[in-house]
Amino acid sequence: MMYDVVIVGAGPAGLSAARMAAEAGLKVALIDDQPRIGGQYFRHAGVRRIGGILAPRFGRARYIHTSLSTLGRCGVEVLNEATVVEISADRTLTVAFRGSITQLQGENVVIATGARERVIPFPGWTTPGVIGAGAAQNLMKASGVLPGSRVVVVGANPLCLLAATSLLRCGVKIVAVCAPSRPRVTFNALLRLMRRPDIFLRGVGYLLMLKLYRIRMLSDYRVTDVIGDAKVTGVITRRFAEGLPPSEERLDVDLIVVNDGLLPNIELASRAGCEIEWEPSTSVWSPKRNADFETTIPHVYAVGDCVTASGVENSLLEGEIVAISIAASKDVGERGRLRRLSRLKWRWRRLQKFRSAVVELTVKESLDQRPLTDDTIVCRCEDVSLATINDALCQGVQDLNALKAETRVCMGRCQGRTCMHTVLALLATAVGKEPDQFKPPVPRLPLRPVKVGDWLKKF
Amino acid sequence: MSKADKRTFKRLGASDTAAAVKVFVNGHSMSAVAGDTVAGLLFTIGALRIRRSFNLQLPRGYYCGMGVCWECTVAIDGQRGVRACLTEICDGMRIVTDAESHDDV
Repeated sequence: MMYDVVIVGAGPAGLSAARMAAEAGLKVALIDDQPRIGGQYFRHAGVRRIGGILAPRFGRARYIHTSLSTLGRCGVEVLNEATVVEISADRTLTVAFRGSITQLQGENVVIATGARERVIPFPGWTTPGVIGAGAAQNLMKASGVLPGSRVVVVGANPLCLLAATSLLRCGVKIVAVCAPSRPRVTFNALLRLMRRPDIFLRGVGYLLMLKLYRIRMLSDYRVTDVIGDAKVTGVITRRFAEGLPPSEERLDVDLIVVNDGLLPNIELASRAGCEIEWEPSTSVWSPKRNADFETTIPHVYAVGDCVTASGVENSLLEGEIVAISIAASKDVGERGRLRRLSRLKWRWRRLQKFRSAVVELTVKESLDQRPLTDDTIVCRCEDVSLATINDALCQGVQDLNALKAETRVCMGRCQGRTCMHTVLALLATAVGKEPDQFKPPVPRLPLRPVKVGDWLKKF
Repeated sequence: MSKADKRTFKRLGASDTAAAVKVFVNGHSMSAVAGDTVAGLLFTIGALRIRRSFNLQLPRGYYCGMGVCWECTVAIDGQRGVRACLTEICDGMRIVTDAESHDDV
């Protein structure tokens, strides 16, 4: 089946691109692996308000309702619970969808696969009850489920603060927020934050709320162990600060919420042959693209958090911009769209300035700051411990492929999505290189696990 | 009394289209809300350990919440290796935790 635009990912970026492109009269297909559209941000299960007066309004139902009606009216082909397993040079996507394999071809492909959570391992991080900050948000947003009753939040980036305040407003006891050292606030960064005072104030609101509720901020503390076998019952934190004696403390909690930033999902772009570059400010790989968000492969675009994790406002903007650019290249759509495009791009540039300040003010955690022990699991899928990886590195393993062959790291069902950033940091330290000197591995078919039975039906 | 009455974590608020359905978790019948995720239901009944890891048989549970990590796989209606975080509950669903062994991979 041939489409004008095939969009992969129905989160804020993909959804806004689909809406805009469909309204301009293009033939659009939208592919997503979740049961409902909206991605991680818009979860419209209908949980409008949970808990009491202070409770956050989850759902963001209106955007989803208008999107659904627009997509329906314009005849957009929406494939939910569909996984892209392959993309070829002629922009044909092979999709596992409802127990079979289908193929879609797009004159243009928009990659809006979003980001996943980065968690740097610590001892005991595989215990049930240690979950990502976004994962905690998901439970509350999609099902109205409170994932714990006494919680410690590890990390101090915007997503951690958001999760902490959401949990707090739903009535969960936050025992402590375990943050790395405080950032140095510069005047210049503050000025850039003023480009989007609305988002800035929201962030200030999170901090004020934590202050108001007298949540313990354990600055310079790190998690050294998790207590509990089948589920978390406590956590041991230790202070690592210069000039102060180390002090250890046990906190009784039933949930640990962690996040060390976001990693763009570059696998599809990488498979499509797009050039991937290292982004030093957030230490992630991201697809290279031009001013119209086109990657180095013509007619393949990348928008939203799968390029640089910048949040929902940016994703909505980028989705609109890319849809208008594609419509312009096909010479369809409304008059005056060029003026609209330049206005959107102006807003986008302001947001980029704001983002650079947020990145600057977020203290980055790195692997050498984590008190890992030899038996800490690094690769969750294959149960590969730090000791096994270090043994292989001592034997002179020089690159990622050799390390994978030797230890089976990054070769489980998540296909390296969870541990590759850690493995790469270990490897880089061992061979004395910077992470940007490594090439991102190009994933092979299938991009995500697919049932053999489904795959065989294709032939 | 059914197991549903001694739940570990509350489910707050009702969905617009909340429909109570009956599901079976490891053979126990319980009520749930259609459209919630299976992972959410497992959290409310305190089943945090969903499976054991393939190699070292270590306890594992819900982790990424968006289908990336494959740590929350359960068997649903006999189909193994289904991610609980991506599956919505429907009436009569039979959910089995700890359903995998290394032979399946």
